[in-house]
Amino acid sequence: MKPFGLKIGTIARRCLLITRFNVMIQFRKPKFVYTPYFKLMKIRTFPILIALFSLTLWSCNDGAVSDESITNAEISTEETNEVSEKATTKVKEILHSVPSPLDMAAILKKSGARYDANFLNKVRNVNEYSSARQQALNLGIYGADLSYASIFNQNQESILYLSCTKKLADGLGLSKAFNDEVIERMEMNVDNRDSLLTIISDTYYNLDSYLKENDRDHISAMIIAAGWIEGLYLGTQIANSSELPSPKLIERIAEQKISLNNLVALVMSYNESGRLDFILDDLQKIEDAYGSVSINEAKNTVSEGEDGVTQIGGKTVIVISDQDLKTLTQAVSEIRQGYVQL
Amino acid sequence: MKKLLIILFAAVQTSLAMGQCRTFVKNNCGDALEGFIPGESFNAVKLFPGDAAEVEMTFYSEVDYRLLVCSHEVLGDVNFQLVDKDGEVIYDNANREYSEFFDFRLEGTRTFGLKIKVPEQGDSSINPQGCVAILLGRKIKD
Repeated sequence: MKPFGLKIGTIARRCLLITRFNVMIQFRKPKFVYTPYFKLMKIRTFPILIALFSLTLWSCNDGAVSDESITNAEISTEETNEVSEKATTKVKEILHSVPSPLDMAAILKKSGARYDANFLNKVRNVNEYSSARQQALNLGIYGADLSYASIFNQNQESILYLSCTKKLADGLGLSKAFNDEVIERMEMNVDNRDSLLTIISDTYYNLDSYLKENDRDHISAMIIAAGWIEGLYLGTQIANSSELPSPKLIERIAEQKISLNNLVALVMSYNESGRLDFILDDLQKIEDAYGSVSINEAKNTVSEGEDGVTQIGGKTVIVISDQDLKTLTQAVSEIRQGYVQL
Repeated sequence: MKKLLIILFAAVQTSLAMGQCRTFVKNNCGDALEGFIPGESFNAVKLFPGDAAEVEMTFYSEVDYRLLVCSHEVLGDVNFQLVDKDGEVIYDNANREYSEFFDFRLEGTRTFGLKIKVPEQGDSSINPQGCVAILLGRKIKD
């Protein structure tokens, strides 16, 4: 496994190579589990399909799935052996996970940054985002702003930003995953930061699972990418607004180069029909801006901490110049401006 | 018409499978993250015995994490390993009686591969498929 530090083109070639030599490799989500079976079926299995389809519809009407997490591939007729055989074919799923804006916001606070509401996207802008693309991108951006406000205990602003995300989620048809109860829970727990953070995380988790469940993964990818970019935007703006930015903060900004590779891979895996090409172009610009930032990882060591938590040792040595920071700040700011503009 | 039906069937099945996984996670996995702020990404797949999954995950330094691989009991002891970029195994739950979770913190930010393997099952006409969900909790400290 050597997917680290690859450029977008390299990752694309890698994906193609893997696909060519191992047809059963899957890049994500269960829907691909089903696709190959149908491609390989013969026409004689078609009646079985009809029967299965009818069964599915009956199941939906009945409102009951016999077990919430198990499906049984046992089918008794001879003609379905092929289906059963494909079902037992070994599948390898590959998924990607990047740190959330909440993690970045926590890093900002821990590194000594101050809260500054001027860096956040304006609440009043929310009414102007009408296309699905604008709504998805700004759902990610407002989500990052919401995390930032919550981490810094700006409770009233948190509620405001939550309302913005709710409005955009409604616009994207995600009301089922983000109902009014969330706002009520936020208001009830406004003085308990950990509860607020849990509610925010739960809400975004529900949105993400709902989108994936409804085959709208590209929207999920837009939200995740825009949230990550907003987190980096906040970090770079805070660093540049300070005469003497905290070295820890600079280090954290540089470290985002590590998660950028993973974010690129995630977006690529959801980029059917080139719908996310614009984000990949933007991420390439950020990758270019990170060009001369060097990150050297020491060998990992594993030990048991006194509290029973495993410690994974191995320092990261980071070299980032003032010019690197300026270049990165400029690149991220331009991209983010493009997302929030009306 | 035939193609349309096939596509429709696949779409309905996909939606059902994801919906089932979502319900499974909601009902069975959340408690194990008590005391941690849960992650925002939904990463779950339905796997058969012998199947594997891999997730690339970035972890920040100085954060207390709980990595949870929550799977349906029908799949048996699901094995998971954290592997670094050199392929070295950082953690293997087979050494901890196939525990579903792993608590850790890092000195430096890293991307690791999480490799999941569902054990093979004996020869059987029944081929159970079950949900495997990957959840990440963290403690946010000032």
